[in-house]
Amino acid sequence: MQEEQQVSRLHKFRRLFESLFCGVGLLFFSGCCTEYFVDKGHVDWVGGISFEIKPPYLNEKKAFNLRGQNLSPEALQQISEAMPFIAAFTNAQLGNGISYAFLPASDFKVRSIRNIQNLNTDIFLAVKSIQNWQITAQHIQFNTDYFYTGPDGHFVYYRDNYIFSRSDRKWVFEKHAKSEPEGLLACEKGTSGWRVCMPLKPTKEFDSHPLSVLPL
Amino acid sequence: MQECNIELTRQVQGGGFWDFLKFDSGTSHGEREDGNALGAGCGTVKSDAYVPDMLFGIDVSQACFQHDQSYSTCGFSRATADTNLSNNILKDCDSQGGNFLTCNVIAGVYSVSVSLFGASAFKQAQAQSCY
Repeated sequence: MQEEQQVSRLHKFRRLFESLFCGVGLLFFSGCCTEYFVDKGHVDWVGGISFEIKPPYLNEKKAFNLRGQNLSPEALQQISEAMPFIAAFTNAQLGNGISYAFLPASDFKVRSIRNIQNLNTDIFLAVKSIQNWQITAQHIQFNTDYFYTGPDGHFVYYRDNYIFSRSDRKWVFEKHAKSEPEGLLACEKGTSGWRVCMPLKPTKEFDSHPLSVLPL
Repeated sequence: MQECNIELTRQVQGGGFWDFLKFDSGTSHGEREDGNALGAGCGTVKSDAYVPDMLFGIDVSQACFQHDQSYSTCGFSRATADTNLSNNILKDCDSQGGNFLTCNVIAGVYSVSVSLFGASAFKQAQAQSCY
């Protein structure tokens, strides 16, 4: 009986493996179509609001985590308007091949992850996700999770917090939501197999100037 | 002759047997399950649903996303980006409990894929980022 179960499971595994090979085969076959592998951007619709996930800063825009965040259409509309500005700011924060001299003067009050973590210019800093949105009529607060390859070759995850405010038709960095970043994250595999990240140090309950107004 | 059973499979790949069967693109109904936009992982907006972010139970989405961002950084070397992808998958796989064989198979599959099909993506990403 046990042997039958083992054989049944192995057959299931074999079928899955065959499917994988067929999938890879199809992938290679469709390689003729370069558009399949080239990302020119797209328009994403979340809660009826459109988001232009297009260059420049395509990957920073892809990192916007908007689903499952319980955001109202008004809040989503505001994030949609601010997306190009937040994406450009995030790209500058990554500092991959960009000089801080190119940052606007007001952005010098921004915390530099590279300075805090002592990352030299050879280390590639990437963005994992931008999430935990809190929205008011004039402000947008969010967290950004960054990651880079640490000295031992493993990924290191790091979170910081930001508040953007409306200025004319632009959205600009105003200040950090908390006096300190959340800092290093501990990312463990959850039961589903995907990584779940939590700050290593406990966050302060009452800190600096978080948006205390109810979301839109 | 060596009998192949569940315990042996567990020993070979390093994790639980059912973990070994986990292949997941990280998408569902045309949306990414992590809440990010399509393409924020392995594959592009068009191929995200078909390219696995999880292979043999190993989550490689961050290695892929870093690779995408390397391609999109003006002046970044394609060879360095591809080498980093392979190294990152190996290390990330190791930290998730994958064994030598599993990790090398996964790194190999993705390395071959980007070397075969990455040229146009790199060219496009560089054109978009260098302006």
